[in-house]
Amino acid sequence: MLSTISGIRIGAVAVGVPTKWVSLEEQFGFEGSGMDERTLNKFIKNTGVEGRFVSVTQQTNSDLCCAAAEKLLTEKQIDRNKIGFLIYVSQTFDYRQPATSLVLQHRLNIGIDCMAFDIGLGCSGYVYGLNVIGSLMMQSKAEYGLLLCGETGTRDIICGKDVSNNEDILFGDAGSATLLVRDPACPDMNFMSKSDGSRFRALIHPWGFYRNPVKVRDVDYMDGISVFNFSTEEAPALINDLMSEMKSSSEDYDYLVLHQANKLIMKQIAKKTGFPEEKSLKSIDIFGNTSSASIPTALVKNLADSVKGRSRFLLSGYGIGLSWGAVDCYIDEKDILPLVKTDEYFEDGYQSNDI
Amino acid sequence: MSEKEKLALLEETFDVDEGALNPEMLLNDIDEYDSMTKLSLIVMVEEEFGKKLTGAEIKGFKTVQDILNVMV
Repeated sequence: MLSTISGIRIGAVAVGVPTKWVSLEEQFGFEGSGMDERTLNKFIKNTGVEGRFVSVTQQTNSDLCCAAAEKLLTEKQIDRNKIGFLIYVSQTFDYRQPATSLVLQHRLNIGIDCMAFDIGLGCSGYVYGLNVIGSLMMQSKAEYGLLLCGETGTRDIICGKDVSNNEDILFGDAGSATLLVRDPACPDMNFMSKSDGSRFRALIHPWGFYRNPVKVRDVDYMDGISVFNFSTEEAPALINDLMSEMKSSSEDYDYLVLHQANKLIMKQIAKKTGFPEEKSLKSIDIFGNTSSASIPTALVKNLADSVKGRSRFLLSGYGIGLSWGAVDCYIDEKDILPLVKTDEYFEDGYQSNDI
Repeated sequence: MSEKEKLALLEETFDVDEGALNPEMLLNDIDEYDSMTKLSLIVMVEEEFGKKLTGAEIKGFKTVQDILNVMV
């Protein structure tokens, strides 16, 4: 499905990570680490992951998003009463109830003339979030929208369908903040989005919620081969559909920014959509796979120091759901801010009447 | 493509020495045949033979010969 957002553009992008960075070499490169040298080297070669940022115990993804947002709002001198929408996209929420976006609204001192709510999506979340917030802004008078996306992926244990998997060391922690700005003169953002709920079992954490309240195991399950085949088939097909709607080709874009799933998947998608490797921005080496924050991490890692002006981007996220999307948009490279590092966390001060 | 060439392709995909594989070998006995190798195998078969291996097909592979059989 194609959707077009007019008069709204991406005005700034920031990413927050914890200060601690752990290399896979350091974590597993010794006798008795549970992984032999050959497996480790092969993992690094195929996934491209060299290490990840790892949050401190009390830190949640909202803390990382909050630090990124604070930096962005301060740097751009944004009037916080003019932010009409705050959307938090994640699968790692602070509480089962209420939505994390409300807590973030409070922490960021955003005025109450604002719709704050959460979206529970993973790897497709950044592109979906841009689509939702852009649409809402288009039909309102809000000056700004704030999209916060990310995950503390190092907290999750991933269990592959076939044994001997090491997917749990693929994921890293990062939270992003993206400012959407009303600008009648800006070029359109064009989205292509798809969902296929029939494949909801391909990536799932089934325990400890309402359907299966008993926490049998605290793990996420991933059918790696199905997800790999989905990513290397459906994502390039969607990108090609979008380019054909836009009557564009890879040559018309300055950059392709894919969800940083793993190096092998990204290479296949670039190849099938006609993008040369050098146009495909990567951050998986340092950040690992950070779910809905991964597109912002690739922007920040590669372009934070850029002094170039407006460039044309093709962004695409794909994964859990299964859910996938792509957007053709413009971003001024000077609006991509340097990486924010923090170990700060929110002490909510909540005291239950029950304790 | 001759069987020898196919075996050479598989050895490259498995990241093992030249001549390390033979058709009778059980995949379970090959340390290098892990989840990462399976993904590389999907890419190789798609690029060289134009077909996409499914999870079920891969699960069905018991010997090196089983993989050679789909490399047509």
